[in-house]
Amino acid sequence: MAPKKSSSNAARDSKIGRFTVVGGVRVKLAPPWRVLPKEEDARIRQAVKDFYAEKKSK
Amino acid sequence: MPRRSPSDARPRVFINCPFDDDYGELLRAIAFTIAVCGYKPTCALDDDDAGRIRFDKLKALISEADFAVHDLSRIELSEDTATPRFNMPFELGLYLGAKHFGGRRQREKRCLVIAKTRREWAPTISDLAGVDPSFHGGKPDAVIRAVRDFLHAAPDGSMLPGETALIAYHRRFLRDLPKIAEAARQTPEEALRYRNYITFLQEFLVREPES
Repeated sequence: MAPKKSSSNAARDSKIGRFTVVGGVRVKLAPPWRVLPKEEDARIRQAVKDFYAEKKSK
Repeated sequence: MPRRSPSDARPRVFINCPFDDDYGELLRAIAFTIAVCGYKPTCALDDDDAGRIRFDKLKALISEADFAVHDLSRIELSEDTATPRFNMPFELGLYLGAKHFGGRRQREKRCLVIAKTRREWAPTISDLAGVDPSFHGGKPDAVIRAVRDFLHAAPDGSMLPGETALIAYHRRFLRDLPKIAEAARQTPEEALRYRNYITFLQEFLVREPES
């Protein structure tokens, strides 16, 4: 089981935010927003996360 | 503009365009560019609450938007009814009205007008004479270039990736989308539906930055 994040870690993460890198440029992304029902949104995000985690592990 | 929670404070870019299948590729390219540049794309497809009156939805989206992309390239006569499509010019008018008659924050709104070709544009809205639209010729790469140049910088003022890199990254996302759709037990066609696409896109950007 993943260790529970401390509140200070969560606060730090929210400050750091989400980033992508394109053409060597790091861009801070908007915080995630939901346009699908909660369960469907979570299911898609988890599938994408697992897909790229598996790809990187190969 | 309504007050937003700190977690939702990133500038929003309202997309005013056709929502039919023929325009889908361009809509998705616009949303991609907005999201990759660090902004939040919004449009009337964001929710499917049929009970909410469309005009109320539009008012809220336009009121909350900091920027907008208006595509007026598809206001030709409908083959079925022989009447023009008024939705896009109407929403552009609503946006410009908010900008010109609204409070201080509304007056800071900016917008990009795009159209397919100069020839089609010329006779459309004479009241917009002097507005210099960007022409995309129906090509996603041209739309990416126009939206990127309009946004100019990331919300925090930092520089944006160049258009060549953005176009290549967009192609890479489109190449991966059928595979990540399959991982999520969706068909490629289902993954292209706007709300699915937006969800796949958000997660792709974080999980697969260009290395």
